[in-house]
Amino acid sequence: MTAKLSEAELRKEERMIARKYADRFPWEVPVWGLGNLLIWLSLWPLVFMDILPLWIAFPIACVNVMACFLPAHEAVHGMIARPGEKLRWLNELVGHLSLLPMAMPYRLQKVTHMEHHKHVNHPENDPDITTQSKGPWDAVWQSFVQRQRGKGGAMRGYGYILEKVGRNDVLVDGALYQLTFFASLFALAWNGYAIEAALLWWAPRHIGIAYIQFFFSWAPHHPAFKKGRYDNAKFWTSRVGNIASMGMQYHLIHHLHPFIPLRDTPKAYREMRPILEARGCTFEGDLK
Amino acid sequence: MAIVEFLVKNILHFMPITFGFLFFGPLFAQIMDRLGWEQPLGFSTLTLGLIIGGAWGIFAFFRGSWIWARP
Repeated sequence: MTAKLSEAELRKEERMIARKYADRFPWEVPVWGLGNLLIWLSLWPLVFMDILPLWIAFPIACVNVMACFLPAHEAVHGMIARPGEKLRWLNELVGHLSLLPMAMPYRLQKVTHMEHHKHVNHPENDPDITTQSKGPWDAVWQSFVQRQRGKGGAMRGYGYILEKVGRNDVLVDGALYQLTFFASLFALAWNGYAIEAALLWWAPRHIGIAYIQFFFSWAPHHPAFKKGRYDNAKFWTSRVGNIASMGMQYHLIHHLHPFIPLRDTPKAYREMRPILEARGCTFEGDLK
Repeated sequence: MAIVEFLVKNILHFMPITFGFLFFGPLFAQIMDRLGWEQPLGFSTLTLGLIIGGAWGIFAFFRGSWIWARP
């Protein structure tokens, strides 16, 4: 039926479906973002007071870092409240606070993510193109390699893009966050808590970033060559399920309609599927 | 921007060395303490931790990578 629809009709149908999901207040986002932060913060006194063993706290801290990114990502797109709306303060609060376990500034995430949306898969202008790799194992390896400074400490990835778009002010955020993160680790280490600092923050942060880059950036865009509206990301079936893969099986819905909350992207996908097929989107596996 | 240039050039630029000494040094020492090592190779655990951590940091600084491979 959709095959017979004109370009304008397809666009209209798609927008009507998207609009149905775009205005819901995503209550789960502030609960998730702030709750996750509180759990991570509570690990520190629980471990220091020997209430919680470090071997249990470490995997929890890893999950906290893995889970801290998406609430901030929802805030980047103003899902809780758009600029000028009454709850905008909550939107920004969730954005700033939920990223703390990752030691990443919200403004940096906001600016670079918007550049990603503007230039998906562009070899020079997409800040996330550094996750492009040959396959899943290479993606994990590249996540760690791309975090290295490189010869001469050349700016690339987020730093390169921020300089390119003239947002050096955001680079200051990044530098200050890094300094605070390192200073916290040094202070903990020299007060006898180096192992705790390593297993509650330093290692979980590295593991969490690899996980986020794999599922959020690499998997939905791989091989990351196409730049069209309907083929710059794909629909795919994850072996670990939708929740464990950060809901990214439906990532193209997010690129098409960034105002749809993450939890609603599967529903929007099911409703839009005939339109997406008519548009020639990529479907890997039998995604329901 | 003056502040970011100062931070990057003077503090973050040398961070691998600083990190090796100030974080990995005490970290390795405390791991050795937990393992019950006393005077490994004739050094105190902190001295040996600082030697290993510091050497790794210096390597990372000049190589541009903690893990040999670099972008």
